[in-house]
Amino acid sequence: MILKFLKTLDRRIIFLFMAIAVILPTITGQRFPVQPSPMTDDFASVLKELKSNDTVLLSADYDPGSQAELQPMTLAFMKYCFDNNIKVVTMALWPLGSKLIESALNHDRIYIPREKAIELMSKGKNVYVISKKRSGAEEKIEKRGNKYIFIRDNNQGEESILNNEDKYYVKGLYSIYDDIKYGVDYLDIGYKVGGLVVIQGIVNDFEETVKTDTLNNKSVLDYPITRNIKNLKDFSAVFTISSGNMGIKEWVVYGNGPTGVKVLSGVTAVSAPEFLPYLTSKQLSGLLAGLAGAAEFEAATNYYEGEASKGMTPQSYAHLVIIFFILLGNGVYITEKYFIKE
Amino acid sequence: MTITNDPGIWVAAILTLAIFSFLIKDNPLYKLAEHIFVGASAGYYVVITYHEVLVPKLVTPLSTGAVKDNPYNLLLIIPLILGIIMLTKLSRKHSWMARYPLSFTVGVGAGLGITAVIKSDIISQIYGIAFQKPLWFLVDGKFDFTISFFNLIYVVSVLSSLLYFFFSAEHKGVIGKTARLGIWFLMISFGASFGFTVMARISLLIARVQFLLEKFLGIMS
Repeated sequence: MILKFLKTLDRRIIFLFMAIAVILPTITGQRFPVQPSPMTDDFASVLKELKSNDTVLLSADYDPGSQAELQPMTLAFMKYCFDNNIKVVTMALWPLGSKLIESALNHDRIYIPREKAIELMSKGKNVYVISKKRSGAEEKIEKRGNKYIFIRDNNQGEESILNNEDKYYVKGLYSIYDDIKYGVDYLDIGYKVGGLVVIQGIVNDFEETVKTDTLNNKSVLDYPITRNIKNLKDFSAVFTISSGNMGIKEWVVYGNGPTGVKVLSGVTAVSAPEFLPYLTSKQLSGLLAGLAGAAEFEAATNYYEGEASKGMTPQSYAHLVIIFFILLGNGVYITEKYFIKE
Repeated sequence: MTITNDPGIWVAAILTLAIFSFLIKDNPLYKLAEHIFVGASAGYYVVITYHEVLVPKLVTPLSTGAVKDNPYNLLLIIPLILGIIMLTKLSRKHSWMARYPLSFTVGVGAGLGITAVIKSDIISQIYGIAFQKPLWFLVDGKFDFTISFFNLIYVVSVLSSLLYFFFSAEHKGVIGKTARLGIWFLMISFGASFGFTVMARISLLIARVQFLLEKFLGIMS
């Protein structure tokens, strides 16, 4: 009877278990510690070899379909670079890649500790809060005199105190820094159509291929960050955040191949096994694989309250559910084959 | 818990739930959300391509002033014509014409790619396995068993997997047994790929659940 029930188990029951495994840890906020794997450690050590004032090229070769896995990598990488005075030139081989970079700089939630929130407010930055004791919704904090006023949906606001349990954040990486200047520390050259032709162009002549930036449509030669960049070799590293063609493969084959420039990459978990051979042959200097890779990278760079790290507990429970059902399915198969007589 | 007032988040949440409804059963709500997704994505790509590719790379350089400044811009008429010919794919009668721009694209791709791909995917890979995986690995002059052991597995797995696809000799005796070992390594790699795929799909689910709980329902973890 039980065997028959298990053999014809409705797939929706499995979906229900999976939903519970993901929803409950998300609500309770339970966190498992994340330890960087050797692969992520290698990635981080390549990054730590970069010196202050080095320039890296960040290519956002993905779109919102893989944002869940890859956007945390973009945030953690750019934050690491800005924290360590490494200059970043951003571009995209995918049409929506540059919008995601823009989102990372201006819109994505960047969680900060309470002390940092107070510091940023004193500098006149917009800081937001989600307070468990209040509504649980987003509120903007305004400092009026010695009081903190929590404002929701443009109402008058109410005075409140800054609790340690509440979550504070700013919108976009730009909000954390005072000293990051466009054109000096960071430049966006936007979406470049042509894939491998663009990469080969940059390998030969950066200025001729790229010509202008996106924000001001001015020549890249007008900006201090790219004034001395002649070709791809002048970048200390290329970091491609990639979810398919064009992306990691093209940067390895057409970027690293002819120049030997260090290529680092963050990829979706689905595509990671395909690119591991490049890592072992050292054509790729570092690889982050999926949400786990992103979470490990956040841990390796001490990124505060990263989205990827938050997702790893539900991920672990979901894997346990899958393992349970695999064992159950095999148990039913073995029982039927060896222990049940016709 | 406070449900958001943001209409954008409401639309995103309703569409997310509509897509999830497929898990129970195929239904019109799912179909509607799927069509909206495909249509909105295609529309968005068209707009992006128009503003970020066609206008700056074709329309502006072909404008009167730009051509006066640089007459070579007129050469852009060639890719414009090739691009228009590509659209003949939509007509059964004239679709043969699209072979010309396609052959041009394939030719450029092959010409640019062949040497680079041979270097990266063949020569560097052979070099990697032949010279970067020593079976007797020394660390500070001392034999490192772990690295040497994994290098040995690496070399054996590559050779045995390759042998499985070698059909010029019958898979019997030593060749047969080695090829069988190769299948085991292939199966392990397929398992790893499947595991990564599962992780990727769950990651997408987690992101949607986080969105629904935190941004839509206002439930703070």
